Amino acid sequence: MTPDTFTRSQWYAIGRLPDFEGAEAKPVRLLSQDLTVSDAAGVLSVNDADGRSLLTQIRYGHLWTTLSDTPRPLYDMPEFDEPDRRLVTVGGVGVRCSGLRCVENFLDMAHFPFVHTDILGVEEHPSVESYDVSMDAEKDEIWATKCKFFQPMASAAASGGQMTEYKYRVPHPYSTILYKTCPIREDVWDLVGLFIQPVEEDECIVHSFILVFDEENTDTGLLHFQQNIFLQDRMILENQVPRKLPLDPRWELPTRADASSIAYRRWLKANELQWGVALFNEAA
Amino acid sequence: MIADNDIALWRGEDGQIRAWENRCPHRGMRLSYGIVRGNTLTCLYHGWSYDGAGACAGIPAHPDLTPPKTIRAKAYRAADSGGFIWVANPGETTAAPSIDGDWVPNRSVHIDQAPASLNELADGMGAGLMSKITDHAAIVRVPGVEGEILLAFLDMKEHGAMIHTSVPASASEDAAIAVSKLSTRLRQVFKASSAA
Ligand SMILES: [Fe+2]
Repeated sequence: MTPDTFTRSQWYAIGRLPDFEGAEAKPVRLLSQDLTVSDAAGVLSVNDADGRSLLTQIRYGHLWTTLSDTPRPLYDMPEFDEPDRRLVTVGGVGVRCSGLRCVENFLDMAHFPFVHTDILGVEEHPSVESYDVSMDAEKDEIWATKCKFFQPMASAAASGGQMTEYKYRVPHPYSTILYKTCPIREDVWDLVGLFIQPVEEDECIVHSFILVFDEENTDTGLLHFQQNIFLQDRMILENQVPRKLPLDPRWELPTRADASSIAYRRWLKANELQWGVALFNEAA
Repeated sequence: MIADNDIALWRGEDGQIRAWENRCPHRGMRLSYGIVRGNTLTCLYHGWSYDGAGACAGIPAHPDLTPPKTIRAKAYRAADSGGFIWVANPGETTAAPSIDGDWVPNRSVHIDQAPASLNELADGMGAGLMSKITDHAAIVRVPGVEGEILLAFLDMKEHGAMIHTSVPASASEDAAIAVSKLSTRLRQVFKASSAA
């Protein structure tokens, strides 16, 4: 299947800047296409298999490209311009499933006690209180707000259990950002997010970042915390059947805790996204 | 696997064997990663639990919610007999095999090329059919090997086939070893290249 218009019109992160230092036609795969990245004296360029030069931009610590000549603008994260924040980029991790499944897993609090046991949740507190899900019509993005969850160790800087407040944002079919209560500062949010590079319909590379106020942990400490969480998720993601995301409501049954996932699937459908989607009755 | 469908097998405290589609109806997680407690199976992803009949019995995210009856794991038919676990599609109406006597599972081997029939499999093993149980299982005898052998195969099409054998609980160690060797030899008989 060739990517639908919505999928094709997006910007995608394909790596961090140091990943392409001195690159000479370094191969990169995006949306089932072979691309190359080259570094000419610090200027990165991306070409497709026919030698056509693609649009690029450097933002949020990553190199972004698009197959479209008229892409939908990349979403804003003003927090990246705030002083004193620390940015840690985790680097790409390959996952054998649709990137759409990764976004959905990221939005999901109900799995914390079972998959991230004693870190992001405990089995004694599995309950998911209702939260608000809304569409920002102007920016065409999804927000889940007033999400609260009991966490024994919400982040690398957390010292004990707390009710953590979350906001989730989905501004792009393959990107999602978590805003969570900062354990050491009031009235600000720490950010954790995923920039997913869809490689094939059922295969992706997840580039993640952490943008936090944290004076205690080293970059390596923050990186290890995030990597540990993500490896626990990957074990789940690679064992979901089918590997593509089913949008047909007959196929997977949600409950109230899945309100953000329901909104996400609905939004993908409304935008006529098809690439990476499992068709009902299609062999898994 | 039957007919390309992944199956999760599990046994509760009651000892009963169950064969379910290997995916949680919630978000498709393989149930084979789940945890058996008593007579329920709990999915690893969100802790949804299912009773022995496949009905959802609990959703931890909503402790006060009685799960809707529509949430069910797809159950295949499953039975124990002759030292084997037998599985059939939910709509299958024929009775599960009931094989007389005490049998001990002997060997399960994978072969590259599925035999076209039970006869072809028996021939490949140098065995004679004594009595047929299903189109894919029979009691056979092999000249020079003491006692009967229960022989079955699962046709997995392009993925080859699984061959299973059981021997009577009374079989001698020599007989059991002989059957095990015969099973292993089937890998050579039904090699991908020989049938191509
Ligand atoms: Fe997770």
